[in-house]
Amino acid sequence: MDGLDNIYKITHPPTKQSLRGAPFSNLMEKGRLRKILDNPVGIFMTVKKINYEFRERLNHMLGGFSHNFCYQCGACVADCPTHRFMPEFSPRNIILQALYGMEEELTGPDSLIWNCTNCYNCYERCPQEVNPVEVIIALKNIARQKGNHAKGVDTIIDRVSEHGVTVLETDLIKRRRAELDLPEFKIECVEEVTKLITGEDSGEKK
Amino acid sequence: MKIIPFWGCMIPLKYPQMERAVRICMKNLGIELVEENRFSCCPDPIYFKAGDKIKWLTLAARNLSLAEEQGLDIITMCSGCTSTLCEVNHHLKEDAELREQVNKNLATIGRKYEGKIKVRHLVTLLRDEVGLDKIRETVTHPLHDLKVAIHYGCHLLKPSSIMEVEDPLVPSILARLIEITGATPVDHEEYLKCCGKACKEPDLTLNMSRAVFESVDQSGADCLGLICPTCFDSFDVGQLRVSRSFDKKYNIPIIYYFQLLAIAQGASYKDVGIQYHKIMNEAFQQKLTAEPAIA
Repeated sequence: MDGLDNIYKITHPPTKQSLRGAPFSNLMEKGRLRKILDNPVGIFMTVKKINYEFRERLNHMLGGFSHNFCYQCGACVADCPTHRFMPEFSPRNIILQALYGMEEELTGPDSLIWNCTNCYNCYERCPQEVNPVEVIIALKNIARQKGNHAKGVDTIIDRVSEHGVTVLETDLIKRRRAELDLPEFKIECVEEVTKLITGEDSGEKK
Repeated sequence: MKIIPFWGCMIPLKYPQMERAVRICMKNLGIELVEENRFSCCPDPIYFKAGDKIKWLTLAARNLSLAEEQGLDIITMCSGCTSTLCEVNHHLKEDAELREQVNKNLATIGRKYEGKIKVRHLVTLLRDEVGLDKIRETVTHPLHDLKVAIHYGCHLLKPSSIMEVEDPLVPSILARLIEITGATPVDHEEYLKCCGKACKEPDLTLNMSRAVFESVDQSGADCLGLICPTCFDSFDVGQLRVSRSFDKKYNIPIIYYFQLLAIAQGASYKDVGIQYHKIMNEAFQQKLTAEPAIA
């Protein structure tokens, strides 16, 4: 196991200082946000018409604001597993489209964003703390508000709302749990979960 | 040591053999599991989070508040649960405004998130709190003949600024834990890759999983060891789909780390439910039937 020895040598426990800062709190700092919103044109002047309304909407979604920091270096693309097998999917391109405010491409029924596999490689790689995967999730939240989401989303949310869990217990599993000498599976206070899911709230940060 | 296990959905309701294995290991290590029956789904960091991030935060905060009530830390056995609970705990601790908003929602059911507890995947707890030497003492049936290819999965290590486990580019935690069972961890090309489960397009999932199978095939390992039930799903039953789609029969048994540890601690193949796995072969099966170490 030569390889393994090397792994031991290179690895060292991360410290708070060596890790990058928290994603939301520092980005959402009021002064910084205002300054950028007041002066949003910059390098995008030469582009056709930018849909600022959509960008404004994205800015107010949790994790959506950081798209403003992208300088299109492409570090996110090289390590994207979806891009490897579907070249038309590119986190850099998605962020660029967000900067243009290309609403239909991003949150329409044919959007590619649903092929993101949520691996967080782009989050690790990004030198600008754009956190592309979180921007993509914010875009997915907008797509759902418009009814253009992947079917699985409703299935999962409805199931959690009704049963508290995403997987329902079948007779087979009941039998297996007994064979394995495991206690019966039970979940209490599902009504609390139902209330939190069906209660009023939006996906937007206030 | 007392700790609250967060079993999640996939482990107790799809792969109960994993729950069994964890319970055996914890008993052997003298860790007391304090059950919490009011936990809901974490909720799911892919679809639920994609649907409504604020509700995702709120439900996760409810789960965290239940553990806070008991004053004990949480361990997770699924990378999805790890991702949701660690991330939410991190954001809510750091962002007062967000915490206030979530607590307003929680107030409707008379709960409050305070940020008093820690969440860790069980492997992190084993490495950092229990200690590798202590685990080694419990291994009575070392699996010397077994070669295990490693699959880290995505959400144990990333994002590293939140998970704080180790550098996701050169991780060693699973290799070290596998070594303790007496088995040999095997490096392979794609050991840090994603199983592809979350992609909408089924072809993408198949391609991503296939890349891992090809890499494991070439490594000469007897099986693929992992710590996430979602990856297990992609690789066990998913292996049948990949074999069908690419017209190449793969035969790589998949094993959840705690099944391996439980067997090394003396549990039988059947105790930890390996008979329920879809992909199996005799050579692997034989290597799992370990002899007790000579004293």
